Amino acid sequence: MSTKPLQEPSFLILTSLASGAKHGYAVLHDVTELSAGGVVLRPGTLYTALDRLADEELIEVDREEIADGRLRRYYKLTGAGATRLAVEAQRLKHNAAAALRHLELGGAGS
Amino acid sequence: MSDIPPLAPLERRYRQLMRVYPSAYRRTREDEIVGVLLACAAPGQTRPTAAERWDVVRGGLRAWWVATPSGPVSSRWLDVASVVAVVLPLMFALNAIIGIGDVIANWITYPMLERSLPARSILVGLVGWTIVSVNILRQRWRGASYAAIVTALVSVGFDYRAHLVLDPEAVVSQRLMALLPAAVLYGFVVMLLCRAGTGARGLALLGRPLLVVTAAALTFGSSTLVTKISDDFAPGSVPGPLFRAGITWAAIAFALATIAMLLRRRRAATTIAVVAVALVALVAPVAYFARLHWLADPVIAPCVQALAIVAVPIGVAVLASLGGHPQALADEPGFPETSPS
Repeated sequence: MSTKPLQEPSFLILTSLASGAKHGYAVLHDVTELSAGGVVLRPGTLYTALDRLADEELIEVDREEIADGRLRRYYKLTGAGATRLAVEAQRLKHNAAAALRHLELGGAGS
Repeated sequence: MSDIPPLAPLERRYRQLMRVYPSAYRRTREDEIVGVLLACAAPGQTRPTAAERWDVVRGGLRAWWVATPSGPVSSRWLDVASVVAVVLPLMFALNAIIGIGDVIANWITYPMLERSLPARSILVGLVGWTIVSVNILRQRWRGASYAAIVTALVSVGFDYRAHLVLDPEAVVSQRLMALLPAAVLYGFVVMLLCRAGTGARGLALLGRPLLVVTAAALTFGSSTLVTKISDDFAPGSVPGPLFRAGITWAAIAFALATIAMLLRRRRAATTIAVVAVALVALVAPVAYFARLHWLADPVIAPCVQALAIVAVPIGVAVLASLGGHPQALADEPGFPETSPS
């Protein structure tokens, strides 16, 4: 499995799917909310990212539904996707903790 | 059919916009993406915004290039690209042999400077593209892509230096224009060879013997075309190298696209026939072109060149739409599958 850090949109998409299978629009909405408006994906970019994540076998299609006469495809995390997200979250947590520690040290010294 | 309601203007425009995606991709994803676009649209919106257009166009262009889990979306285009990626390096090497032959033939006629500088440039191309081709034939893809990058950069550098010395009066834009066709072609080949699986696909499609035959046939045809046209026009006349390059590369692109498209259907027999037809298609117009002196007209020449350049993507698109069956390569040994089965 690749150990390259996930790009922020990919991380947020995986995070959105971690709580359960979702369709494209729900993922878009989630990503904006999770990032507090910092990352706003558009459909073309979202599907490019979904294709890439599916290619890396981190996500897969869960089911298809017809809602209001329109196709909705739901995506879910694979086992590999959940592991990758957990590893990435731990890495970010470790980095964030280190950053806060250093800031405190700097603040104490000034 | 009459019970299907007409599409709302916004949906119709989104669907028009989706045409930038490959048709195979649209079949599996268009409804889904359009649904999300519509869900994201502002109330009362009747046209896609500039940001939406850019987003869809960018996603569409990427879908042409990358195979996705829904299948090798641009398998027909990939066939053309893959065949081009393996044939062109060998063509460059064979062209360099012809170039070396020209330099030797004119050794006494040309002064020292005019024979040594181009000779060095051609020699660099010969050595470099031969190394790339050997790597391709031995299926060493990493070696082929690195060698192609180095050869492309060094060749363009040597060409620029030759221009600098041989034509000191030329302005920078003239020099860049003179280098542009080669630089674009080299860049294209480098890009294709660096894309994982493209070279392997091309070699699997053609096979080694057919790759060599195709490159040799097209080199012979195109060099005849270039030489004949340049002989028939007065020196320094308007058509010039760009015009000849335009016609020649248009013909080569058509030939390679045709070969790539037909390869899937019947391997050897059809393709050898196509190579023969491509050869005739390259050489036969020579006699015709040779008599058409109106082509040298300063207005008509650029129009014909532009037409040839525009005709290439249109022709390739038409051929792509007539392409073979994507599963035909399943039995090919060593053919890399780009999608999970």
